[in-house]
Amino acid sequence: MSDVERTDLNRLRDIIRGAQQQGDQYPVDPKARITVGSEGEIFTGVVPAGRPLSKVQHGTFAARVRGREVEDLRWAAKHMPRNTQFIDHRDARGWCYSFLSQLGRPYTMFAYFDGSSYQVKLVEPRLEGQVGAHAGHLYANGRLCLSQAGGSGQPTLEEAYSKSVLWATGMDVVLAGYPFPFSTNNEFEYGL
Amino acid sequence: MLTPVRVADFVLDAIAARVGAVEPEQGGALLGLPGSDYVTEFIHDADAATTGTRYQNTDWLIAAIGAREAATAARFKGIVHSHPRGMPVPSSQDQAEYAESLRLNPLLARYLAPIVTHDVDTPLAGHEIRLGPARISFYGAERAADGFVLAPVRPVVVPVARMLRRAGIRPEGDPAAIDVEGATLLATQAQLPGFGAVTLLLGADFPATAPIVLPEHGDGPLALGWDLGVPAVERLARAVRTLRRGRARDREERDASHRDGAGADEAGTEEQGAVAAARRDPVRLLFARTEGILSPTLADRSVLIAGAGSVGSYMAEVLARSGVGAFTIVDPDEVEAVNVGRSAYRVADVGLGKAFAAAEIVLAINPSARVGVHAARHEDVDLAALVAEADVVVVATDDPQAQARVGHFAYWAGRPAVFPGLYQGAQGGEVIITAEGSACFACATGGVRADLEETGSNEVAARTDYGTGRLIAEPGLLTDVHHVAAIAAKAALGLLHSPDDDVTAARFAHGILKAGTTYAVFGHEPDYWIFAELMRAAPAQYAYQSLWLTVAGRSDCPVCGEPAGRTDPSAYKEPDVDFIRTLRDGE
Ligand SMILES: [Zn+2]
Ligand SMILES: [Zn+2]
Repeated sequence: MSDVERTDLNRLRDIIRGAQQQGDQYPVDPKARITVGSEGEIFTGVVPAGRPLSKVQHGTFAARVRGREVEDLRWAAKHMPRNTQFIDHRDARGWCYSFLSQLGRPYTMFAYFDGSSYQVKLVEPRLEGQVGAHAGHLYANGRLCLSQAGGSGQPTLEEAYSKSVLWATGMDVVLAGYPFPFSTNNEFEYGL
Repeated sequence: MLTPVRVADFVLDAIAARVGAVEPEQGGALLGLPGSDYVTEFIHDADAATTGTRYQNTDWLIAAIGAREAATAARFKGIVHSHPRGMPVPSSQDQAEYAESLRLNPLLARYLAPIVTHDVDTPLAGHEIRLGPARISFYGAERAADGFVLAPVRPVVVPVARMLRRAGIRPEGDPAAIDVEGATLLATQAQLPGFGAVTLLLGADFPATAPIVLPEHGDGPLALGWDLGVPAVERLARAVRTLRRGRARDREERDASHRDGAGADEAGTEEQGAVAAARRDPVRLLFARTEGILSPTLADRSVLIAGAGSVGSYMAEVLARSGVGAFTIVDPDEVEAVNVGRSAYRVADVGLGKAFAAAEIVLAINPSARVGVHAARHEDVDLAALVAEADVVVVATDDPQAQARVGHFAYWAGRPAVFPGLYQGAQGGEVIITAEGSACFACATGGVRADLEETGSNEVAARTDYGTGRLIAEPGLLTDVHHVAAIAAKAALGLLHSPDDDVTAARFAHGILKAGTTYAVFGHEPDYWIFAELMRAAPAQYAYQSLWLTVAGRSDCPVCGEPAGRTDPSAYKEPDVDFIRTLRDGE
């Protein structure tokens, strides 16, 4: 972490909202880009070399179906937290992983493919039905809203994982009593 | 062993509204059929003297009970009242009053004493049921050698109001007890669609036995088929449907015999014949006005409508009027008063399931239509089977996940689908069309919505309610809703034809697919932002406007990509978060 700038929340928010306003899903300029590490770290700017990173889709929490990664398992082993477990059950098949958010709160999540996109459910903390309805981008059944259109999912496991990390930090902010910071859809709540 | 008491659902509804919806204490009297444990009436004692913990009935209530007993066959059964949270049992003061009541009412075998509380978090016991924001705990007091005994009583809800609603019968008031030749029955006047005003008589053993339905104009009761194999709440609806079919068939036979010459000597034959023909075969007559535009083959076509709100109900009506012969309608909701201003429903439909109410509309237009009704959510029906039976799927739900899921099933089964949607209080809208070879719903929305959102500064998709997962209803003009729905209906009608059918509707819809312009956006306001942005300098623009955009599916899309990479939607189910926790804790 010493050679990497670990970002503050305002900077994250500015980058995301800037990208959303530009309509730039994957900014080229490193300064305008957010990346997620394999243990739930969030990086901005120049990323550390030689480490597995996941790019964050910077657009509004909106789906862009890009097709399914066939190498999900291999990818997950390299890019998702070391504690990630693949749960292989008839009624729940997917990746269960835990990480610490930017504010140090532990989150456990479950990412799964729903047939057309990747969804993530919040396992811990148990917030479903607790967090103010529109503010949290969290459905009553525990599913994260990672996008605005087409059923709330992301097209790849990479995007679902990285966006879930960003979401967790957004939820930290919500739990601290403020509006969700990473979506222009919540802009009206700031009174901007 | 708890002795049961039967309680009509409309009585519980009344208690919920008068006692359950307010803080303690409130109360009133229960009346029912004489000689049986069946509660059919609630009289609210609105002016009772109450403190935070005590309800004392008024003299008015005593007089009201006397008046009801004199005017109807109903008899006093007991008193219901509310208690503060956490006290779902009669108090000692209550029990003293029960003893006094039993002493004063020698004819009362058992005094019913339900207690209403606002505690809805603890599990229900066998003598309790949920009443909206409250719970009701049933107790009964009976005489015993040394005074009386108080015991829990098991309530059995008789779904009278719900069965009437499901059957489309609109009673003029709650059924009241009357005496008919020594038997006590519940009676009410009601409107039975297709049969007009009727008197409805329900026995004490309804719904195990059929009600008696006496038409105001007619000779004697209607013969209702009564199938005990059908769940109670559906039984009356089924019987009424069968009755209506039978009558349509009778009429057809009568008209046929008229045609065969029997009617030739009657006065005004020609006109009567035309009316009879219209009733007999509305679909065939329809094509007098749509020849060359639609094909009579529509009578053999079937459409699945997912979501029967403002868009879905309108589409059901338009497709029925256009001659489509079969419908399957899926919607879990009931018609609410707020829906009337923006849907095909009427005030009389309030409280009916939307799927049932939409089916009524279809059948009122074309009694020979085949209509399947599913008052259920998309997760709770066999979508694979419903989609397979349909020639075209109309996705008109307000649940974005349902749109994506139903769209996936349609694409997988090779059925064309139409997705109408509204933006920003119906100031704008969209129609997406999918069929084999086109971009799927997810590809179309993922690309176009994001692009539109980014070029303009406005939101395209409506906001989602994270409590229900559905779109937040916004105020919007019915004509604007219909503008989008009408175009979706025209596309659906076209897609119900084959591409080489020589009719205008087929050329319209299949032309869209051929050109790949399967994503239409609409503006209903002058200078609506999409158009102001994209066609800035073009003169003479005004609402309504439309653009038909080309969208491309991704080759690796699991819905519409390379066939080998597509996924079967039946294979996936949303995991329950509690179940995931169990699995994880089991590790
Ligand atoms: Zn009491
Ligand atoms: Zn697709």
